[in-house]
Amino acid sequence: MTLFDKLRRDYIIYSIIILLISGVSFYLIIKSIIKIEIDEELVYEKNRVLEQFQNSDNEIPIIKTDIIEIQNLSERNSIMSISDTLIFNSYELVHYRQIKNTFNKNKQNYLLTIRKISIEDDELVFIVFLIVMLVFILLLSMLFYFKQRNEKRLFEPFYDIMNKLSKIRLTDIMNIEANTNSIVEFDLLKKELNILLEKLSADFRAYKEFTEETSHELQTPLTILKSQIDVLLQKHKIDNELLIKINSFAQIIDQMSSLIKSLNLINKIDNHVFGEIEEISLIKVIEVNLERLDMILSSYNLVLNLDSDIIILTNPYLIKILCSNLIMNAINHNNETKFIKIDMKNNQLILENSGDELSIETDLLFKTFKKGNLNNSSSGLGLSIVKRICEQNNIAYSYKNNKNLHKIILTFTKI
Amino acid sequence: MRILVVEDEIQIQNSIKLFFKANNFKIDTSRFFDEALSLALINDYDCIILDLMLPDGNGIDIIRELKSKNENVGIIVVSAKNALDDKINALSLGADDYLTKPFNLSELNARVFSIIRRRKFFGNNITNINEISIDHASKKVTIKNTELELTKTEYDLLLYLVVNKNKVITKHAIAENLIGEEAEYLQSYDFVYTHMKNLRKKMLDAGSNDHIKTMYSVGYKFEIE
Repeated sequence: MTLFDKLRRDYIIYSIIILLISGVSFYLIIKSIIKIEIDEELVYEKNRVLEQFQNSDNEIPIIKTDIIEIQNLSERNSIMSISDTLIFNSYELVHYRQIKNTFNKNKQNYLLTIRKISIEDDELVFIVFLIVMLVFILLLSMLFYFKQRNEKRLFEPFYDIMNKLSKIRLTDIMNIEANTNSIVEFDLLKKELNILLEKLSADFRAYKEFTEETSHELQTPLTILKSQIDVLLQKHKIDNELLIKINSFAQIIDQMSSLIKSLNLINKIDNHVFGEIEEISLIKVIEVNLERLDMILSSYNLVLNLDSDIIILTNPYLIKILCSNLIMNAINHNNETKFIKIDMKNNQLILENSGDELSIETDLLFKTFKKGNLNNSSSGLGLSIVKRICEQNNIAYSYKNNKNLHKIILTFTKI
Repeated sequence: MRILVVEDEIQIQNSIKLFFKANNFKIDTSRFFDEALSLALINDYDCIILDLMLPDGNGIDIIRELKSKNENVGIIVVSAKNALDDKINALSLGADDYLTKPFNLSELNARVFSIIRRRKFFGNNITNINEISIDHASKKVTIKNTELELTKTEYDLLLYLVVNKNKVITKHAIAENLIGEEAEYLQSYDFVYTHMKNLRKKMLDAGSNDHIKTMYSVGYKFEIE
């Protein structure tokens, strides 16, 4: 429901209420006006007739018609009243307003009744309803006309601002420039949005610098440790036990360093740092990776099915990381069977590998810091990086397993 | 050989000095931008190991200065910044190599040797070490007049061992030398063992002495008297 729809709905509801109230009051007012008018006329006419009678020498005629009636009265009493009455004239009952007045002439008492046709209720209701309906239709058509003519034009700055806002990326925040047609609300919206954007941009830059610097700062002490361990390893009088201890320190340092690098990469992906895209052949990326890892893969039972290439529009660095992580994942989580199969067909890239059964729920596999198998030393970040790259590039990912066979399926959208 | 180490961390400087001492390199060190630049301009170095983030300047400007003065010196950049842009920038300005921190000293050693070899001998040289002869141009290895049939991996492996002779090198360092930085995401370095085993066998078969010593669970050492 648009703002205008909502306004229109309220407007129609209130119009109906107001029209009902005004219809009823209209009815009551008209009715009383008519009554007052008729009554005045009746009094006037009665006075005129009575005056005529008083001034003429003729005998008072006894008449009985619908509009005037003169009766003889046996006793003398004084009546003067105005009332409503119904009279049946040949085919229907007709509403009359009547005035009754007694008078006396030549010692004879008479009752004069004068009637006027008054407007019937249902007729009046019908007229009022007609007027109200007419007003209502006029209001509706005005609304419709207004919608056709003004709504788009009035809201143009709003949609312009929204359109520009939707195109803003965290990595490249610019102030919104839009013509607000000097409408106060839109001016305010634009002003506040720009203040917000500037703050967001500054915060984002600070946050990015902070994470980047943190990662550099962390790498420096690690470099000191690592280089000293390298020197320590060269000592001549060093027994095996100490050698192994020192080496385990070295391994921990390498783990920390790779953890920091992975987190830094995740941070960069999340911040859309890798913006430039180009058309890339997935087969080529896979082949480069396979060649690089050939010294490892040569001892594996590797089955390749790379017949139909997939061309994707993405960042070359990210797609390289994606493929490398998937292949590394298939190597790291393999078992003695050493089976890896890479399939490319129907816009799908399927990596299958032998491996031990998972010790966690399969849907947790792509989550940050979740390891498929609790007793290995992986960081649990590899598939989380895969997930992020997939989500950013509209690549659907899924995992299937059949006991000791694990399958990761990526489905690419055609370009 | 004369090397300049530009690095603001004294402890890293010292480790590099200690590790390189065995190569009979003469090593100068500097922690500051201006000092490093004047040292590089006055002396004739074979290689400069350059950290980009210095307390009083950016190492990138040292590369720029040296190259604008036509100094023909090998430069290897070491940086904690693993940014693709920095790497491309440094290399396009004329740096010979880029190594991301933290690195193995054996890897730095290998890269420095490789730069000196490329610059001094234009790659056309032969390393003779005991009974082993390595021709860098044709990538051929001969032992007592027998040419070894090595795979590319085995050749790279031998080169790495020879450059770091008499030093303990970890399996991790070897894996990283062979595969690249991504080696740190690998959980097993068994492939290093497989290729090392093959190389050792080929060398022994050709009549070489047994130089490759296994350092229990840690790595290897190429022993030469």
